[in-house]
Amino acid sequence: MPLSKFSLLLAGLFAAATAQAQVDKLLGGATTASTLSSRYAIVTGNPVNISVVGDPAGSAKQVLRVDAKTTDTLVSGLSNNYVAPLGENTATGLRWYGLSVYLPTGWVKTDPNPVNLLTISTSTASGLPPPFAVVARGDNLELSLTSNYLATGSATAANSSNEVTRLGKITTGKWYCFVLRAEWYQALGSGKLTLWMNADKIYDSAQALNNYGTAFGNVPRAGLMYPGSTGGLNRTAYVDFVRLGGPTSYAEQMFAETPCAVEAAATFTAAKAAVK
Amino acid sequence: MRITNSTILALALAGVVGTAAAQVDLGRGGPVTTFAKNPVTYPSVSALLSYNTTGTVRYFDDVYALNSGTTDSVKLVADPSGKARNVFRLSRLQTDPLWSSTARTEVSARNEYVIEGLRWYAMSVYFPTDWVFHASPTVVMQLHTSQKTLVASPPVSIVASGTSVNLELNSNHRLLDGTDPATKANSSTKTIRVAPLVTGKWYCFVFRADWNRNPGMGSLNVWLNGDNVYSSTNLPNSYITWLGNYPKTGIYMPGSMQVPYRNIYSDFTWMGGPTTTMAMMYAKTPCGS
Repeated sequence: MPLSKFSLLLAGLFAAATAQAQVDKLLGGATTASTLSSRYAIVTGNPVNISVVGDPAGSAKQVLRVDAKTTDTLVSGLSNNYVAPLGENTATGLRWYGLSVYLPTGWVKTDPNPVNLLTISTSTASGLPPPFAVVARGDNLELSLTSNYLATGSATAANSSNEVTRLGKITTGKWYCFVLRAEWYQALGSGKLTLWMNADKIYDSAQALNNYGTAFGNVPRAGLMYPGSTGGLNRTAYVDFVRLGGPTSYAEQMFAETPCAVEAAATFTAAKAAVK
Repeated sequence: MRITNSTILALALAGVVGTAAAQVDLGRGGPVTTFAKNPVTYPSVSALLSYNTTGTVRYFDDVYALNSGTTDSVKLVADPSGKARNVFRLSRLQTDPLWSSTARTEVSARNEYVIEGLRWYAMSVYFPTDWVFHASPTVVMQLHTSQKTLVASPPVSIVASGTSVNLELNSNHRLLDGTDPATKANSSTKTIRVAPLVTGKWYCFVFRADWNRNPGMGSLNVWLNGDNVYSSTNLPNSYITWLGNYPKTGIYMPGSMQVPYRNIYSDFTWMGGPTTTMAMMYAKTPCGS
C-alpha cells in the first residue's frame, strides 16, 4: 500500500476510535482565537461579540467571552450569539457533553425574560425548543427539557412535552459546569439522561423520552440565546469550549476538561471516600 | 320539611362534591384533633366526609389510615418549629415489626383517590436533629398509585437520600394487559435533586397534579417552601390506576432499614379542588401559616 493511503487509513481508524472513547479531540474542545472558526460555527449578528479570553475566575484556561447587545443584527429573527462545534450532530444514541457557563458580576437578575446559556438544540428551522437547555430566568438558573413523541411535521412547540427544574438562585462570579450523559431517543418509554452540576448528580431519567424525530440531530451550543425578548438589556457571559465524549467516557473524565476541574475532582474524591 | 335519611345523604353528597371541587378539601384531609375513636358510625362515606368538612372534633381514623407495624408509632405533638399548631410525629425502630412485609410508618388519607384530572396537595415534613444521614433512601411523602396487580413505584415521591432531598417521578403510558403491559421495569423514572437535606426546618411542598398517563398529556407543578422548583406540561405523570392516586407521608424505607431508627415530623395532608390556588394551599402548611 502506498504510504499516503496507509497514512490516511491510520488517520481514519484513529479518528473513529477517538470519537468512540474518551473525550473527543476531533470535535469541539479547546482552541485558540485563530483556529476558533475551524472548529466551531460562530453564530452572531456582530463578529466582535465572541472572543477567546482568559478565565474570569483566574485559572490559566482560555474560555470564550460572549456579548449580546441590543444594537446587534438579529439572527433568524432573534438575538443569538453562540458557538456550536462543527461536525457534531448526534440524532440518536449515546453522547457525553461538557458545557460550562460563568455569569459575571453585574448580570441583571431582575429581568424575567429567559436567556438560554447552554443548549443541545434540534434544528433551528424546526421552530422547536431545544431538548436540553440551561436557562437564566430572573434570579433563577433553570434546566428545561423538551421532547415530542409525535412524528416530524406533527410536532410543534405547543404540543411538545416540557419540564423545567429550578437548579438554584443565580450566583455571579462562579462557574456552573454541567456534564450530561444523554441516550437520545424519540420512542415512548425510551431514552436516558443523567446530569451533573459541579460534580453533583442532579437529574437522572430512564425509559423517558428526551428527543424529537430523528430527522433533526442534536447540536450543543454555548453563549447567549434569546428565545424571545432581550428585555432591552446588553449582557455578557463567559462559556467554556464545548466538550464531547463517546460511549466509554465517564463523568470524572468530562469534568476534568471543564473550568470546574479542581473542584470537581475534590467532590468525586470525597464522594468515593464517603462510601468506603 | 320532613328530613329523611335520603335527604341527609343528598345534602351530604352536595356538600362533599362542592367542597372537593373548590377550595381546600377538609372532608378527605386536613387536621386531626384526637386519636380517640369517633362514637358515631356514619351510614356512608359521603356522610363521613360531610361530618369531616364541618366537625370541630376531628378523629384520626375518620381521615387517615396508619400503615405501621406498631400502633404507637404516630403521635399528635406540637410543631417542633414552635408554631401554635399540632403535627404528626412518626417513628420507626429497625427492630419494629414490618407492615405488609415493608419497613414503614406512614399516614395516608383514607378516602382520597383521584384517577385523572386536576388535584392540589400540600404535604410537609421536618427532619429532626437526630436524623441519621444515610445513602439508603427514605421515602417521606408519596402520591401513590392504587393498583390491583401491578407493582409500581409512586408517580410522585419525595425521598431523603444521603444529604439530598429528591423528587422522584414514575409513570407509564402502557396498558396493564396485552403484549406490552406496563411493568415496574419499563416505567419511566426520574430522580431530581430539589434541595439539600437540612435538619431542624420544615420542607413544605405544594403539588398541582393534572393526572394523566397518556402520551403528550398531563402536567405537574411542585413548589418547595413557596418556590416553584419543578413544572411539567404535556408530559404523562401517572399509570392506569384502580382506585386512583392517593397521598401518604411518613417513613418508608425500601428494601431493608439500614439505620437504627428514624423519626420525622409530618404535617397533615391537605387536598384542594380545581379552583384552589397555590397561595391557598401554602397557607395551610407550617411554612405558610
